[in-house]
Amino acid sequence: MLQEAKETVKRSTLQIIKTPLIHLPHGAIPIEINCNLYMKLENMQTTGSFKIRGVANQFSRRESGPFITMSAGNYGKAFAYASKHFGHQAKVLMADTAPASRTAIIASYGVEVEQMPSKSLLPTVEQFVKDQNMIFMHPFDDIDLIAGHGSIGLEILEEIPNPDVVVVCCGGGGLLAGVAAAIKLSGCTTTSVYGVEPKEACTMYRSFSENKPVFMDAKSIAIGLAPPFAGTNGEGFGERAACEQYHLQGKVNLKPEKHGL
Amino acid sequence: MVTHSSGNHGQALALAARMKGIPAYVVVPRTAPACKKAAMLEYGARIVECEPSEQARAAAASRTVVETQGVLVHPNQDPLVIAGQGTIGLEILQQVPDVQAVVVPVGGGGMISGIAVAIKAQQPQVKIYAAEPENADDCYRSKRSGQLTPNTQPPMTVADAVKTSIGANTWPIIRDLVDDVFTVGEEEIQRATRLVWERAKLVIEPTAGLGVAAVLSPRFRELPASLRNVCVVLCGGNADLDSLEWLRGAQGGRDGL
Repeated sequence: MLQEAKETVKRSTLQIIKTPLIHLPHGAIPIEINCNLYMKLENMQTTGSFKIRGVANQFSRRESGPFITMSAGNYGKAFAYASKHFGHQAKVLMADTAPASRTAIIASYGVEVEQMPSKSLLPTVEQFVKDQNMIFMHPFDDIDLIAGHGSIGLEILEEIPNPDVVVVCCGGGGLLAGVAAAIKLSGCTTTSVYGVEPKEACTMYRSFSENKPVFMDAKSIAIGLAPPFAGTNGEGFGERAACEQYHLQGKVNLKPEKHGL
Repeated sequence: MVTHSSGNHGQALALAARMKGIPAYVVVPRTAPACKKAAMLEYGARIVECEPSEQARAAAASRTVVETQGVLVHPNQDPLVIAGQGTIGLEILQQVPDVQAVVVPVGGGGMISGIAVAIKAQQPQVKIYAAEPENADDCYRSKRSGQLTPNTQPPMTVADAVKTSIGANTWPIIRDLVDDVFTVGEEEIQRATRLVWERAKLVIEPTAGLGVAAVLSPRFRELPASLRNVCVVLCGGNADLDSLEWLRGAQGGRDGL
């Protein structure tokens, strides 16, 4: 499934790139690390984030829309871009707290945008699915999406066959699940995969320690790591199961001020 | 080691000198970006400030050489420095074997001279184009007149790393091996720099944006359609993050998307 997803991502007409993997030359930089640090540059990915990989795989498994999702962030942008590219009718719901610049970017792709209180997002999605036969594309709790994101893990292994540690930021957990799956299922039994969350939005951390999905009012300057609809059923559960199954070593919480975020 | 520099050469020299345990003195125009001065200090350089003119830089550097009994490493006329910058050209040929043109920002001309020598020696059909601010167009005027024609006043340009004029060692190379010079206005430089930040997601300094601005300029787009593979050297990323008003003002793409 991961290899198939990687092929889909590679062949996609969405112009998804194999992003550079660079070594940070820390000799000239005043940071205290005692390891060889490599960075996978998904900031340079088409639409400005890794999300397009999961989106590509999601769309490839569904013939036609209309499609609906909920995200004001990078997923919404990738979803909108792909919808326009494939000529699908699409709708993006987002919290009314989303900044105007983001809604503008997403709307500019020609998708319908609706804003509402966070609590109403999932119920409204369900309404559209029921009443208008729209197909819901989940922004992180989707196995096709997770597999698409897994292509990042496979690309890393192409350049570094046996990394000691892979660190992945974690919001809903789609990226973390995909990368962990790719690394572990490729046979890297000695690689440690770490998820990182802001301390004020550590739902996955708490889910792991309490052994059940946990929901909290997530606040962080790392707004991509604090899904606005925390509190709905099933949030994070799929990812937590995926993360657990692929033996995540543990979670690291960052305090925003301390790390200059 | 002693040198004069608006910042990038100074940083490089300071770092290299520190790694060898040698003191480095850098003569810096007082108008140089704060982030570059800070970087040089962090690399252990001793900074000597001077007035922002070519004469003042050279004079202060000479004085410092005498006072410290140091060795001058000229930022752009030193043949060894020129050859070192030439490695960029060698790498481009390896990484883009079918390159047809290389666009290089030009200040003192050290980088473009090195790149031109390296590339023309192996692939003489590859075009070497210089990118220069209109406000500092000594290279353009020199090429046009056939005579070395330095800037008469300290130029005013956001491209802070190319304010010096081409010199005695770089002029002959530029005259003979550089195919054309493209000059661009300040707004074009700002817009191109913002475009690269915003859409290519690369933090570059305005002087690197200069090269992109040249490629986007009307005159460049008039080049033959057969010219497909163009490599721009994004020469530096030392942007002053505390001084980004110009970035806010310059709209890079369509409506900030």
